[in-house]
Amino acid sequence: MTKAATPVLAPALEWPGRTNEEWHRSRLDRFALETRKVAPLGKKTTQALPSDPQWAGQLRFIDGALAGAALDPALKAQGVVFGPLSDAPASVKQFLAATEALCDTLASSHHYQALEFGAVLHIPASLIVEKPFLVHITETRNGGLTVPHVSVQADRLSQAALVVRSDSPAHTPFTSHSATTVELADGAIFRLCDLQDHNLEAAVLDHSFARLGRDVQFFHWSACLGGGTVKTRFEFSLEGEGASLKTHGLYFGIGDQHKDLRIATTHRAPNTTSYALYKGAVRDRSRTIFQGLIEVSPQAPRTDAYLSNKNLILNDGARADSLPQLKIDTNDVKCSHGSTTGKVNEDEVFYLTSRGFSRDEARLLIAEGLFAELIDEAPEPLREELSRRVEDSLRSPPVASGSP
Amino acid sequence: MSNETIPDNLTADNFADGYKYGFSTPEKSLVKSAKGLSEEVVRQISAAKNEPSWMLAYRLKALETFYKMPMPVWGADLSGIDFDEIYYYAKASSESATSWDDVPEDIRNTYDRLGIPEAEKKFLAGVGAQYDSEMVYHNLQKNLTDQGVIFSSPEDAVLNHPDIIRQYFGTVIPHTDNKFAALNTAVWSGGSFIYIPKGVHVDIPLQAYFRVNTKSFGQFERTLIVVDEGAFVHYIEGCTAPVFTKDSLHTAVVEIVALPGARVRYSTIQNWSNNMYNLVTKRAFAYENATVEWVDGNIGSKVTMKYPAIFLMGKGAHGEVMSIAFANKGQEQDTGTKIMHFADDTSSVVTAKSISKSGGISSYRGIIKAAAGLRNIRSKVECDALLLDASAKTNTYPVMDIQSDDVSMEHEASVSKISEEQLLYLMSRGIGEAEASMMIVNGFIDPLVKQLPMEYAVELNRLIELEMEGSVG
Repeated sequence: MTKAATPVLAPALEWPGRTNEEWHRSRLDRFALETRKVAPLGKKTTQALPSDPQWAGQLRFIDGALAGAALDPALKAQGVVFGPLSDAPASVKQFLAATEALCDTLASSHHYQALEFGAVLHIPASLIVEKPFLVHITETRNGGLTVPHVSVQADRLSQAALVVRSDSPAHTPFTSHSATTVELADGAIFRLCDLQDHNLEAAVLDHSFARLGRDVQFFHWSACLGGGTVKTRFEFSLEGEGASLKTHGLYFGIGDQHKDLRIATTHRAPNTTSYALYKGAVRDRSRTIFQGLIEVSPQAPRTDAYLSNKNLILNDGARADSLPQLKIDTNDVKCSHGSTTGKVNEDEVFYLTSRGFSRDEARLLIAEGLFAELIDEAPEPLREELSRRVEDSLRSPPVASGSP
Repeated sequence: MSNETIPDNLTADNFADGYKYGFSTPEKSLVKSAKGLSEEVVRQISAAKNEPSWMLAYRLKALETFYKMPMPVWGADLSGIDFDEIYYYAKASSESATSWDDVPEDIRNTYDRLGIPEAEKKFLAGVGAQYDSEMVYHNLQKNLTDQGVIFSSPEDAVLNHPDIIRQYFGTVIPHTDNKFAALNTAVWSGGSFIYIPKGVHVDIPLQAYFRVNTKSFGQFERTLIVVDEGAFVHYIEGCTAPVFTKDSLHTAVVEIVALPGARVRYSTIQNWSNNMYNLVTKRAFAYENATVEWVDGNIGSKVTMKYPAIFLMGKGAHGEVMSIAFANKGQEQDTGTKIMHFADDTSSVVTAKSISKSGGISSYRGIIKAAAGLRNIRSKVECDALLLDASAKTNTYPVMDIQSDDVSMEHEASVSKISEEQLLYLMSRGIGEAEASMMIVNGFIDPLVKQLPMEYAVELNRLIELEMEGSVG
């Protein structure tokens, strides 16, 4: 891996202003980062979780405290580290310091200043783990700030998968400022699945980062379902020759949700590839913003990059912004993006109505079909639940104004 | 391709950087404002034009706005502009002539070298020629004058058609729109005023040619085109400047009003010298069933920031933008399109192509907006960038802001180099690498070139060939 890609830390960081393009469409004050305090941690009652054949290991956090843990003993014996952040080996701590140094505004460095708890997963070299790991973070503390961090380090030629779920019961307004940082050494293959399902009063901020070494294959799958105000950024840095990235994401806007999602992929080495597919649907009075940047540095000839964003607007008054971006600094590349925004295809609706479906039913079936392609790529244990969630999101009655 | 398409007068002397219009004529201004911007300069410009007081008042209000507004923090680097180092007004001829014989000889020679009088004879219905601040020539075919078509300088229109000016001037682009629109409104001079009466089709194009001849000069032309119900016009604009050691500024404002059922096509081939800051605001309002088309070529200038906009105000209106940008060494072409859908059944198509080489930067910056509650909106945007060498750069920053559910919006962008497969194919047929590359580039810009009148298509192809010189092999 090259160190050259790490920018020099700005001597003094500032809060992002309105002129910061990334924050142009979302209000920083919605996150109350300066006023909300980190709530006291919940009671520490760690229990061994019953073994579940679906998972290689599980970590359960409630209100910042580790409530349950399980790890396949065979994996532990082979050197897998999977536990709270306090168990992080030196190499993970080093990586954490490096990602903190990448912070470009106070909004991102706030996470490291307020960092409260988290999980670490370290896979030793050449180890292949078949089943996914699960980190499940639940928040019930009212009105406070929660700052979880998940750090992943996969050594050379290892293979593994991790699912991170975060949720909170209804009617507990709070701010979550999370981050997931991933460092993948040469030849590693890793799948990360991110399922955000907070309540509709939560303000969710996320600044995540992944560094891909030589010939790494990284697949990132995300579903952004919950949260009242959501602002996320995932930076993917392709630093080793031949690294390849696939990112898939789905998001919904319901009621008054505001979701501003950004992915930024930077190709910094030759022969790297990235493929991104993001699909969203908005209804009621919600608004989604998708920002997808592909950046190619002069050191990355033979880059092949593609990004696709598709938005479905289900009723008038809902709003979807799409901002795909290309920043290309060398010529031997193949880079493109596509973006479509619209309603359900009328021809398809007509076809289904001629087969006896009602108009409404036909529209719902087509919308569900749009997301099926993404759900098929999600980790096996989550697929059924995700299908159900998509169905609920599309079919539930309109959320009245003012109520979450 | 072969040398036969390059004219004889392109000797090594005036071929520096491939720019053929870099010559200058000794400066002989009759009136020239003091260097720098002040209320005094604005009053001086207004007085030189014998303007009514309402126009002076508007200029002074715009000057205040200019002082108040910040420089744009996005886009190209504009730190090289020093507003105090610029001459805001220079008049080289006492009258605007309607015959080339009446244009002062040295100025006429300039236009002869640019080939304007010859083009007028061959394929234009009317020509306007601006030299520094003032229009020196304006002529329109008699049959069009008889039908009520007006083609004059805006100064002339302020005096002779104040009703139309007061109705439309500054309504499409208010002086508060951006800092450079405010600057233009304060110090505007020259440009074109066109009025096409109801139902009149002007079948052959009208043209204006803008020439800067004074060093450290700012040209601030102002164009207003009003096309009445069911009428049609194609307006073409060309521009060049000498190569001076000091940078010049070109800040135009172009307003187009297409009334119900009208169609307007506005074509520009911008070929400023490589020391020109070209910061232009162009916008059109398209009312019910009207069509507005921008055909925009940006070949020259040091920095261009130009985003032709179409506001689709009436049901059934249609907007189209076709653009090509070529960013060579030291150039930044920051261009794009702004389309606002404000009415039902409106549609828009944007095709943007760019070519970069030798460290040149071309950027596409665009926005497509569909306001809430609209029915049947369709929009398609395609941006393609071609990078000719490893140091070339390109950026694409589109925004799709869709607030209505009955919309079909598509955007596609791609970046590539000259395809090895295509090159191999052509070379295996016995075509040299340079010529094969040129053929591929020609194919790349072909959809746009096709939209131009024959003479301009040939000119654009030749300009691109000149820019391509030495880029292969």
